[in-house]
Amino acid sequence: MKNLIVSVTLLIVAVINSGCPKPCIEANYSFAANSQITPDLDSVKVGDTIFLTSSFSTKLTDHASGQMIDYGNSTGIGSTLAVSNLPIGDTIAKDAVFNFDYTSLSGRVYNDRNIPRPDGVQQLTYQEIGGNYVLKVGLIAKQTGNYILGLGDGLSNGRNTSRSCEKASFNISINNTNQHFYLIENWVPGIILNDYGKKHVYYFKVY
Amino acid sequence: MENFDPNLSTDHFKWIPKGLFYDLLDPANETLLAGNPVNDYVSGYTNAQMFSTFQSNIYTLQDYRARLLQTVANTTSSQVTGLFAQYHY
Repeated sequence: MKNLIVSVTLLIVAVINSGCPKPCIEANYSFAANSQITPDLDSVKVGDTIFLTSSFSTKLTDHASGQMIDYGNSTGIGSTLAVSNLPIGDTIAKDAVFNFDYTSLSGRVYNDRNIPRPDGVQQLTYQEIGGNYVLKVGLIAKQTGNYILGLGDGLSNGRNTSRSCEKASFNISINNTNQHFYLIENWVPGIILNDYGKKHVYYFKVY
Repeated sequence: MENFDPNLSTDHFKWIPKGLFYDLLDPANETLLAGNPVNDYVSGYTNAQMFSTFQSNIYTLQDYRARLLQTVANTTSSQVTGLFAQYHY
C-alpha cells in the first residue's frame, strides 16, 4: 500500500512538472537587409573570385509594426543565389551553377538537389556572429560567358529561444554595387527590369 | 506572392506553389534575366476559369495542369507546363 501511495504521488508530481506545452507565440516579422557584390567589375577573368557579402544587426525594424525587434538566435536564415548564363545571341538564360566553384567564408553556400532548379540555384545560409547575421561567400569563375546572379529574399523558420515560433522574412537588396544594368540591355534589347529585379540582380562577364 | 521562391530549400512550405495561380492570371512577364525567381510568360487565365478547373476528380497539381490545358486555351498556354515545372510540379 505504501509503495502504491509513493508511486501515485510521484506520478502526480511528474504530471504537474511536465505540464502542458506552452502555447507557441506566432509571429511573422518582415525585415530589410542589404548585400554587396565585390569587386563590382563588369568583367572578370576565369579564375577570379567575386564575393557576395551581407551583414546586418540582429536588432531590426519590423516593417509591419514599425517596432525594433531583437531577432537573435534564429534557427537559420536561408536565401538563394540563382546563377544563370546567357549565351551570346540568345534570350533564354541557362542554369550555370556549375560554371563556378564556391567558397564559404562566413555563413555557407551549398547546393541542394531537392529543388526545381538545382543546377541554377545555390542555397545560402547566414551565420550569427556577435550580434550580427553575416554572409560572405565567393564564386570562382570557371567558364567564360555572360552571367546573371539573382539574389533571393531570406527566410527564418523560427528561433532557438522560448519564442521559437517567431518566423521572419528578409527582403535582401543589393546596394552600393554597380549592377551593370547596361549589360542586360545590350544582351536583350527592350528588356524591362521591374523594381524587384533591380534590387536582386547582378550582371557580369567572364573572359 | 510575386517574390515567393520555390527554390529556397529551407522554406518548409516551398512545396506550396504560392505564386502559381497569380502567375497564371497576371499580365507581368517576370524573367530570370531580370532577376525574378521564375520565368513567367503566362497570363490571361481568369479566377473563374481556374476555379472551375478544380473538379471533384482532380487530386494532384499535375492533374489540375492537364485539365486546365484541356479545357481552357489561351495564347500563353504553351508556357503553362514550363511555369508549373518551375514550381516543382
